[in-house]
Order: sequence, then C-alpha cells, then structure tokens
Amino acid sequence: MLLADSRLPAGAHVSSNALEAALRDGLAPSAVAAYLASRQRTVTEVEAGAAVVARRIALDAERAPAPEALEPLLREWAARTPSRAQREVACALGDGLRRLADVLWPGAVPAPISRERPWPRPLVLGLVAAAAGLAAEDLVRLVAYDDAQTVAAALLKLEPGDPRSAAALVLEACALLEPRVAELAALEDPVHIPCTGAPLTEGWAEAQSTLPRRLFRA
Amino acid sequence: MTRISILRAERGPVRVAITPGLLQARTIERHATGAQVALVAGGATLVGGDHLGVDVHVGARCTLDLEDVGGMVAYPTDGRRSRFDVRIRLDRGATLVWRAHPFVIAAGAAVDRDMTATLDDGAALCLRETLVLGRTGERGGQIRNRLHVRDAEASPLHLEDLELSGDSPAAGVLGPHRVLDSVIQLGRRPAATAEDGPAGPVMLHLDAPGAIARTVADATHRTGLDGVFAQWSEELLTDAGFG
Repeated sequence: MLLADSRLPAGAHVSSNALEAALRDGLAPSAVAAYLASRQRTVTEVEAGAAVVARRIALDAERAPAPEALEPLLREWAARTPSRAQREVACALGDGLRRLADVLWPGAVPAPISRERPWPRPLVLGLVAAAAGLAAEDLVRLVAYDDAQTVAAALLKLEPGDPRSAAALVLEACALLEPRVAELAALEDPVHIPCTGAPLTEGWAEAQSTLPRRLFRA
Repeated sequence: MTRISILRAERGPVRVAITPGLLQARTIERHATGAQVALVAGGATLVGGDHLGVDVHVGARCTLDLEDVGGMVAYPTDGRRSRFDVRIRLDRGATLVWRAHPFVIAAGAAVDRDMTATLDDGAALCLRETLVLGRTGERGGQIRNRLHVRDAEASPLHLEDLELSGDSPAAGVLGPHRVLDSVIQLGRRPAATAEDGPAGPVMLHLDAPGAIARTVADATHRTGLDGVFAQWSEELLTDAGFG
C-alpha cells in the first residue's frame, strides 16, 4: 500500500507519464482512457516484467543481489525502452525510491554500478517487493496502478475535472492488465519480458523532456 | 526463402551467393570489400497464408548495400495470416544498409513480420522501415511487427514488438495515423543527428550504440526521413570505405 502512494517521498509526483506533452500534441482529454489502455498493453508490461524479474533475482540471492546479478536485466529493460527521456526519468525515480528504501528496507537495494546510472524504478520496485514480502502478482498490479494513477493525477492538474472520474479511469485501466497478471508474474528470465512499443508515447516522452513552460518533468 | 550472402574473397571482388525464393535478388555491382544487391519482389505480394523469408549474411569486414525494387503490399486474407521473416547476420566489422520501400498492409490483411538481427563486434546496420496501414482511402489491416536485435553474445541492442491495426487504432501507439516511418541504425551511433525541431522526426537515442529517427504521419511523402536515411547510411558506407 505504501509503495503505491504518490505521497511517498520518492519524487513520483514530477511525472505525468508524458500526458502533458500528449495533450499539447492534440490528444483529446476524452482520449485519456484510450491512452491509459495503450500504456497498460505496452510500457506497463515492460515495467511490470522487469520488476517481477528483479524480485525473482533478489529472492534467489536470499539477500540484496550483487549489482552484477542485475546487469543483464538492466540491459534487457534498456533495450526495450528506446526513449532516452523515458530511461532517464525511470532512473531518476528509481534513485528516489532507492534512497527511501535505504531507510525503510536497509540492504534491499545494492548501490548502483555507477553514480550516473542509478537503477531504474521497476528494478528498485522489484527489489523492494522481495524485501517487503510482496507477491509477484501484487507487484504487477502495483506497477499497473502506479502507471495509471500517475496519468490520472496529472490529468486533474492539466485538465481539471471530476476526481471521481479520474479514479474510475484508473480502475478501468488496471482491469485491462488483469488477464495478463499471472503470465507477467511468472516471468523469471529477463529475455522473456515483453517488448511492446508505443511510438507516439515514446515521442511524447521525448517531447516532454524539453517542453517549454511545463508542469511536469516527465 | 531468399538467401543473400557476401564474403570476402582472397583476391578480387567479394563473393555473392544468392538463393532465390519468392523474392529475387540481383547483384548490381561488387568490388573488393562489398556489393550492391537489388531485392525484387518477383511479382510478389503477400496474400493470406503466404510465408516470405529473406536471410541476409554479411561476412567479416564486408559491406552490403541492399536496395528493394518496389514496395510490398499485403493483401486481404480470408482469415489466414501471412508471414514475412527476415534474418540478418552481420559478422565482425560487417556493414549492412537496407534501402527498404514502404510495406503496405491493405484493409483486411493480417501480417506477422519478424526481423531478427545478430551483430558481431564492430558490425553496423542501417535500415529504413516504412509501415503503411492501408492503401489510399483505406484504414488498413493489422500487423504484428517484431524487431529483435542482439550482439554476438546475445546481449540486446534493441527489442520492439509493435501491434498496429487500422481497424482499432490505439492512442499513444499510432493514434489516428496510418504511417510509421523509421530509420534504424544499430551497432554504431550516427554522428550526425539532425536537430529535432518541433515538426522534425523524433530522435530516439538507444541505450546500446544506435539510434532511431521516427515519424508518425498520414502519408509516406511527409515523414521528413529521406534526408536522415541518406545521411546515416552515407556515413556508414563511407566509414566502411564504400561508395
């Protein structure tokens, strides 16, 4: 529950998951549900898959895994994340979560291999899930919820509307991933993590990183 | 399965071995370090149940400049999917430039297009990939387009599966648009990446050496990628001492 809370001091509030750039590029606010649905089928599967494999690596290591044990996973995740802006924000958010984890679950997350390259958020989330005893299926749902809630919360700031409809959007989006939860939760080999791309979303992520007068960093 | 393989000879021009399949390959020119080959869709288009395959192997320190002659159209199927598989193997220091024409997925067509490439040390690949949903006035069919590229140690360079459908456009994937045009360079970062202005292509700088310039558009002539492809492919060919 704690991990899914956007009030957690881990810096997740700086992201709109590129919604701000998408709206400026002409995505209709009424199409946000469709945007959330596409994210669940694309980027969320990659992130959830990476988190599940990180959790598995941590459980197999029976303590904090050596950084080298995470490297192949890091490469597989990065090769599925073609947008540099998306990788950078995932690493910035991952670093925020790691610093929090160092206090709440000491030893769960190893120091990154290099200071310039912090662990991306899905990897840190997976390691924390292992330390906190979160089941793989719940971890997948957490990633799905986190992705949708990030967009929905940003929507309320960018296009103020009824917060109850925003909550409904989140529920609806999470339900879309539900049929895939068991398969994603069973992932063990990083090679098998899905790699479904979303060209417009990746373009918006890049645009967001240089958007003038923006509200959100990502 | 159409096979194209080029290898350095001890003396004289590279050896080009071609096995014809549904697509015909013709050697245009060859010299000591490389060859230029044209790939002709031998009257071929893709209809339901068709399985097209192309296998490209570029030997160590060789360069292959491969050009499609004419684009390809996948036609409506009666429930049967068609397949188009491409395997690329680049040995040490090999270079492949593939000047591909648009691949049109007509309304009612369902295609699985699977491209797998393996790049050994120092190898580089530059390819144009233009996916078009529908002929003029159509919304277009459905394609599962997979591009999986790894190095010789199986470490990933770029992995992307795209699910595009003219009948059920997905917001954030292709949205209401019908053309996805990309210039994909792997194995080496392009030195020149045009400044991406507001209307220019999206530049994706990959984590592994390589980059993708990409435009989502409504017509193939408005993607602004001809210049990028010319620049990147020229740079690779020049580095390889070709052209």
